Amino acid sequence: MKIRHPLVIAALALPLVCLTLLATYKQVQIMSGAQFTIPIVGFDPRDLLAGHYLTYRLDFGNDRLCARERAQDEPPAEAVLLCLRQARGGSLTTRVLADYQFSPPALAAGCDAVLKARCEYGRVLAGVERFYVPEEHAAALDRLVRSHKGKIVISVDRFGTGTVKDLLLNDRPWRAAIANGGN
Amino acid sequence: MLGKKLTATLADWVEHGLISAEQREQIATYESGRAVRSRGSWALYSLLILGVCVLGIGVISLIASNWEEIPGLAKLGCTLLLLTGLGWATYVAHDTQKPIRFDVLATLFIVGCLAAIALIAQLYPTGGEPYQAMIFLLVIITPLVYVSKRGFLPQLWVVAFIGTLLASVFVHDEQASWWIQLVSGGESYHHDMQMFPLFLFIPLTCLALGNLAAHFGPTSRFASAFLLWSTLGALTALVATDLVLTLHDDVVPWRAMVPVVVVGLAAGVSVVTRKDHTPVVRFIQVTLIVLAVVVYLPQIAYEDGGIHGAKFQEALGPAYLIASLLLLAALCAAVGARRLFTLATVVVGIRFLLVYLQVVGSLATTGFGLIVSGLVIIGMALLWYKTRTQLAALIGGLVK
Repeated sequence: MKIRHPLVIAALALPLVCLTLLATYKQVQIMSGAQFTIPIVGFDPRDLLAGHYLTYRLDFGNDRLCARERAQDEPPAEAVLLCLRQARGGSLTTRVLADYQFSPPALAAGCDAVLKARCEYGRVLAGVERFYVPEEHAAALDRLVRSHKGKIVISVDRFGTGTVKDLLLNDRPWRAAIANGGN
Repeated sequence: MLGKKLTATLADWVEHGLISAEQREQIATYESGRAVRSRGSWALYSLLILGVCVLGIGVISLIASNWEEIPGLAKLGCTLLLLTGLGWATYVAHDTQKPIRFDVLATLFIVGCLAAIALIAQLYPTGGEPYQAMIFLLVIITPLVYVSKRGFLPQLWVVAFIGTLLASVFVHDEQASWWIQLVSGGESYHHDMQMFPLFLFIPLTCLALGNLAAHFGPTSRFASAFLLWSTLGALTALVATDLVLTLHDDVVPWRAMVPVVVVGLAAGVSVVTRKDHTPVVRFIQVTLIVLAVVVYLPQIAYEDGGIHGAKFQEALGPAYLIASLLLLAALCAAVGARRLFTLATVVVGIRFLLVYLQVVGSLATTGFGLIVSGLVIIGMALLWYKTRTQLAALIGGLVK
């Protein structure tokens, strides 16, 4: 078939090319980033399962991350940069990089990655607080996350963006844990 | 087979000597053939769309039941493959000059692109907002909308644009909303009246973009879509303004009107630079823009002191609505937009009726009051029906 309208072909090809590039970029981003495993807890029993998404709070084990005193007229949310460092044994240490000028891809000294996040009502939010779950496993996952057995694996790229890679239950991928009855 | 209306019209024209009996037969033969062809093609399209929908639902059901078992990359690959097939079918529709089929397939292709973005967001959750996905979609489909030959895809694009604009305001984290940041002035809270000027912001933005698009050849096909939604948005804004002025106890804070004034200035400049419009049409548009902002001045002036329940504000609402709608009707008459003219005059009639009921008050609940009210409604409806054509001609003549 002779191509008589190359502009139309280009107009139809553009979305396909852009979608492929977007998926490739995301794949590269997730593969090239530093990987961290962070415990999670449900922050609000009414909102743990919103639709097909499991929503949770990252538990960095550091209650002081959003502890800065703020004036009454200040907004309840502010951007923060978190320095993540994973020790050889797997333990994660997190601290806030105050007054740090983030100029990616350079990393702050003593950090394996810098994660862009924000403090909202004393809570750290890094845009990775949702995980897609199949409906039939929702109740079981809900129960396990509530019982503090959940961890999330995230990849943080050089630009400070976090991407969820997997959900762990009892330190195993969630599928394996569910198949084993959550034990 | 001809419709009753066309048959009667042709008979009337023959009776008044406008066309001969022979010409009537020729028109009837031509229109009958056209109607059959049209019905045939619509029946075909309806069945095709039904078939595609059933097939699509079947494929989705099949995939959904095995969704978790399919690896992520396979899902993505299948989606892109399906989109490629749909894209090719869309091209064939364009190549064989089937504009309706092209529109149907292109719409499915666009919906498919949106589904693919959602799938990528699910496979690689990076925590973005829906409006970011919508912006991406708008950018990648713009060339496709540009090459379409009819007005449907530009309309779809503009609707998606307005949706994206609203989604960027109502984000999950309201402190990250550009509108909230702009209108709250750094305060940690906001209230509903800070959101209200969006009613004015959106039609004014559409007006500015529509006029801007009309200036350039490549974007001119978006102009009429933007201007249509600007007019529909203006109608909504007029009614909402009337409601706020007459019913609401709260005032619109001045800071929330700043974006409206800025975009209003841009819209005003875009109107004035439309040299293809008559001076009267431009004047009416500018007057409508000025009125849309000026009507809030009393509220802004008394923001701290409060003007709650002030009688003049109760009168200002309907007065503003009726004056603006008459100007809008005049504009529609001048540019030949008959349906919008009818809509504007109907809303004027309804508002007059509401004013009457407000004035009469409890009297309307008595038997005598109900009889009088019924007569007023019937009288107004008949008056409007009898005079609508003359009114359009009169206003159109005045503003041309």
